[in-house]
Amino acid sequence: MLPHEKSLVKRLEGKPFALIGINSDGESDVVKKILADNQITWRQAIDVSTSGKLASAWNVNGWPTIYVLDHKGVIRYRDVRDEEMEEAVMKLLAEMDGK
Amino acid sequence: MQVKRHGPLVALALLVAGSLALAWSPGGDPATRLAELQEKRKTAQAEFDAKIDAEKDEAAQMKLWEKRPGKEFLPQFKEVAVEAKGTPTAVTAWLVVVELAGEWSDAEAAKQAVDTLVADHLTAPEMDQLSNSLGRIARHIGADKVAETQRALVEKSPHKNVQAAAIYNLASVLIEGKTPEEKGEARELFERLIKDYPTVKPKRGDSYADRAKGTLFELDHLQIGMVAPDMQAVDENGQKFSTADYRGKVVVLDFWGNW
Repeated sequence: MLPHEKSLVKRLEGKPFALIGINSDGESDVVKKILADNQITWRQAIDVSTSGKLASAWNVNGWPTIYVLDHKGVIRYRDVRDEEMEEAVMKLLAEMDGK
Repeated sequence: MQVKRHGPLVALALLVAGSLALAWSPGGDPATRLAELQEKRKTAQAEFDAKIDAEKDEAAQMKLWEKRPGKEFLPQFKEVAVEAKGTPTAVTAWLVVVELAGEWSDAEAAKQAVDTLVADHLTAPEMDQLSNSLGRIARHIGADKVAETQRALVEKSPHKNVQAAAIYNLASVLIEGKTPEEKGEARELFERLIKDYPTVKPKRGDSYADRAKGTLFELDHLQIGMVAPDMQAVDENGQKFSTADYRGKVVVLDFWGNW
């Protein structure tokens, strides 16, 4: 997961794209250390634990769970990973350019 | 001559009879034997866990895993269950058989356990465990039998915990069904759970009603083609933000953990 996400974020710097993590590891100090240790640069929502508010609200029972939204906020893909996720993002970006 | 010729045969017969008697000797009443069996299984599991923990090589761990304990206990639990027919001991023993039959893919034992539990113990208070285990033996007993058993539990059990489990599990099966009727019934069942069983919980985790709410929310708001619900969050620097702030961008939401 991580290597793909890192390369995607780097490659799409300056493009209308955002990766947001919803993290279930702990409070912000715990998460900050994990981010530093793994050189993770993208924004995190702190959900504290696997039974956190956000994960519960979105009925997340397995990790990672991934949603890809287009520029209008519409859910376009679910549970795509690695190359599949990259392709999904590239398609949606291309779609934006086309319109 | 005669005696000499028959002597060994007689001795053999005695030996066979003796060992059969030993094998058949109950060694206590079924309830005691069940407790002993559970203790034996627990010990075997603990010893195995220690061995796995001590083994650092992954390939060796996999080899060990294939020899994990459990399978050898299945016939023993079954024997106690049969012998204890109609008693609470039988309920506990058959429920262990269901668990082991799922793990070790013993279709015959799975069927026998479910049939007996339904025939003799449909109203037992522990039947929520059966309800929650049926998914794991569905490939052995068939989807129809799973649904039929869940329905029987919903209708016949006098216990709230069993009813809630069975309603939840039946709805979870139906929601994956192909017809609109099945999906419609699933939705009704989830709504009934939220209304009539707001606090009933399984052994671990959220209440059945909360799970039902989550499933319905996902169906109504998190499907492909729907506008994603706005997520209000606090980031690692303590700053509040909302996913709606990102309109105009392609967004990947990644629920993750570093475990």
